[in-house]
Amino acid sequence: MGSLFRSEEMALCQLFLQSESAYTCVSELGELGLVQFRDLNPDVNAFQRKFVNEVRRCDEMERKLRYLEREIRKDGIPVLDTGENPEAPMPREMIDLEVKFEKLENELKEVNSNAETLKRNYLELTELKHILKKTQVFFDEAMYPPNLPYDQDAFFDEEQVNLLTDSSLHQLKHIGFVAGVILRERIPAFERMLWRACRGNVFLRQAEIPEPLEDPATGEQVYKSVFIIFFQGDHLKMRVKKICEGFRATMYPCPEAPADRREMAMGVKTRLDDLNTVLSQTQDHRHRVLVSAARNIRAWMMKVWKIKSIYHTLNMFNLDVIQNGLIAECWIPVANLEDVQLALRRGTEKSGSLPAILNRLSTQEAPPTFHRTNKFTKAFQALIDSYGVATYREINPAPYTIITFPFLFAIMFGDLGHGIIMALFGAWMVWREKPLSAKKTDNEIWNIFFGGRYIIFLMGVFSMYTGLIYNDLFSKSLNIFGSSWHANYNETTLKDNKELTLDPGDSMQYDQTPYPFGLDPMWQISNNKINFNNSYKMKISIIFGIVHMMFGVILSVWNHRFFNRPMNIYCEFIPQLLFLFCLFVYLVLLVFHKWVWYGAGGDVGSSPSCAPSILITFINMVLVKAYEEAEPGSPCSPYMYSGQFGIQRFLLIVALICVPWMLCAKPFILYRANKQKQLVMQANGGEGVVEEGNAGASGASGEVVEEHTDMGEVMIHQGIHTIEYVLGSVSHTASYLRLWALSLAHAQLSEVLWGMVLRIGLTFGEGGAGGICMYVMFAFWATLTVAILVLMEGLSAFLHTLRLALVSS
Amino acid sequence: MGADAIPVAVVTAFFGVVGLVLPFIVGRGPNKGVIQVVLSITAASCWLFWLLAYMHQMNPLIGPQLHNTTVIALQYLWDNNLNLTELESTTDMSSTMEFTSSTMEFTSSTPATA
Repeated sequence: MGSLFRSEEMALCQLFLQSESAYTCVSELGELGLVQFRDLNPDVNAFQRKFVNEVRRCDEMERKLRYLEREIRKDGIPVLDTGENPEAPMPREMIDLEVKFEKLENELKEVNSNAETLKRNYLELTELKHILKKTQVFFDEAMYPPNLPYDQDAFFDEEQVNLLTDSSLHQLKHIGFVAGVILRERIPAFERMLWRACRGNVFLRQAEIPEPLEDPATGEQVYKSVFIIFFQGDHLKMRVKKICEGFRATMYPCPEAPADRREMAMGVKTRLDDLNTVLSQTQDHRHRVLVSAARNIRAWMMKVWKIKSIYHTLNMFNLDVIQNGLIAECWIPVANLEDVQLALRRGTEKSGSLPAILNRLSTQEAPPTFHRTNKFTKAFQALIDSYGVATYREINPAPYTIITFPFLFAIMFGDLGHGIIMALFGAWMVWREKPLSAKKTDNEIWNIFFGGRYIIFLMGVFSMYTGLIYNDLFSKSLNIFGSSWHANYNETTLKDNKELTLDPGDSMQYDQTPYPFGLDPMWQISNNKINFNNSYKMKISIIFGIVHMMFGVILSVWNHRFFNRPMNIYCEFIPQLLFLFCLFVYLVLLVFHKWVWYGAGGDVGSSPSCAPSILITFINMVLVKAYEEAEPGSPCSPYMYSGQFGIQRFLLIVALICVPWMLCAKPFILYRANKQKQLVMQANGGEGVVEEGNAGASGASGEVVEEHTDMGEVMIHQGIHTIEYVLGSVSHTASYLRLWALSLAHAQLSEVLWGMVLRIGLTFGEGGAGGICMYVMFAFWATLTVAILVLMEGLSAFLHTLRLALVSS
Repeated sequence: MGADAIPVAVVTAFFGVVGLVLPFIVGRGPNKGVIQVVLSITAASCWLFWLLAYMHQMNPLIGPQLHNTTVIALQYLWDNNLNLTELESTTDMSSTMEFTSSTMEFTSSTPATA
């Protein structure tokens, strides 16, 4: 048997490593990836372990690298992933790495804070610029208030007329003002507060700044408005200032004279230009730093991870003070002991010290389960493991699942067209494996699809096969070999009857031999297609279900033989097999008999009108119905073959006997064996207290005897097992009917899609309009088809339950 | 009523080769066992699936129920035994396009007579 059929044989080994070579040896073993270390210091706190400092340093480095990565991603720089696997660096190189990362981090932090300061300055200057612009408008408006009947000619020369110093406007003397910028959302509340607090004695003008400004702290764009408040007197000034601070409006000194304002505006403009240049240079510098970091960041990350894992592993070792070395315990597959030795030798050579010693131990513990998988089998093994990992050296159901899982999926999916799409998708992913796997994405859904690419490919291929057999291509049938049904009605029959049914007994209408491969294409265009299909699909579901379950039960024989438990074969396997056989395989045989025996065109007793329902027959058998005489005058017999009644009774009795057999045989034998053991012990003079091995009491010494002689527990265990098996066999069989249900749903859905969607495009009419309509309809149809594929892909979730039957052993 | 020898023989032989002969040929490499299992289970399940479809149709208990327009199309296209007096007098049987238009006429007259 190959290695995938059973989990690998594992050996517990002890490693003696010298302190100097410990690091390199562990690094080599890590690259090999075949060793599982045991934690020899389980009760030691994480902070008390030997290498906790190194782990902490690695954590720091990782944090810095993550920060760098975040900044890189913020700028949108692509991270180069060459897929290379750098080796773990030596401990002394760790210091170099630390220094490098520290430098990078500090540089980046400095650049960032500089940029922030610059941005703040920029914001202030921009706001000042806006203020200067808007206040000009305010002052102009104040000079020419719209409602007052001023003689405007007198105030034409604005250079000499100034709001605050003009003597003719003496009522505006001692006017102070405050200019500032505030968030637009706060303006209404601000106005109200000003009005209430200053009792209406202040004058507020405001104008919106059209472009949004960037807030330096958060980086988001906000809308602000410029405001100017005119007031008289110092008290109001203080009050206004306090309110402005309360609303977090930034105030700017605005000169009174227009000439000063113009000068200031120009100064602000030049400063803004300068700032822009500096800002862009800062950004460039930051970009350069990040680009150079992005080149190496993947490799650095890998190195740091490797160092960290090496130290974690070293933490699990025991310190051997006598020889100044480290002791490790690990599980190694027996087949790989040589490779591990080689790796150890390589490690000690690198560090140049005494060689490490590998010692094999023997133990009673259960070793871990290890399946050696390649990229193809890995997905299926993961599928099986998700249900439950097999115990050590138990039969592995994975290799059989490689085919049964996609095949059962295909029975439910069964469409040639959809199968082609799925197979192509899977094939594309397999073909472009390397470039696609190098692109590390975080997209969970894509990763799931890509991980299951082989499964998807196989599911597609098998769906093509079942699609051919179901004769379903996007809900249309192919007629490759010529249908076996023919119509030969004359004109009046055709005119008079809306519906015509072909008769299987008439050899002009039915060829008497079926369509050679799959379902006849005639059924796709008939009205009673579903009747025919239902009976067909239900039968195949049950038959495949029984076959699958028998396969699972038979697999368990191998387990029993390997673990040398012949008692299990007689007490569990044989009654299980008999139970399944007597009831369910008999059902399958009835199906086959009905297929062969009953048909049209033959003798009346086996005509279609006389064919008994298998379901009713089976139910009658289990309900122990009495023997039925054929009704006089009717050619039909209630039984399918002579002697059926007797055989059915016999099978039922055998099946019923199997139940107590499963339940009681094993505990009984164990009980007898236990009794004998105790008699032997008593005859030898009795060591210790011997108790009756009856229900509730524990048995003899635990170290020598492996099996539990606790009768109560054995009985319970056996009872659970029996009930689970008996009830499970009935329910699992019925649950295979989901194969029928889902295949029916799929077929109907694709028919609906064709009839309601694509047909509209196809029958639209001639000319250009038809072409356009077809284009639109096809897009619609294709989208829905693929969406249904995805929907049906949820079928695979159902398949998981079908695996249960296999693992029931 | 029954099975036809040729399809049974061909299909069984094909899957027999895949499932029983190929596994012995492909024996090489670390995955030998897995490949053998894959081949044999594939052949067994595919053959069984085909067999069930075949046997279910061997002795059918019901026949397909067809709409009369479908029967007309069938008799014309697949079986070539369509005799409609109206049709023969008015159209040339070899031309499909015209047949379509006369079918339309035919169906429209059916409700009146049915």
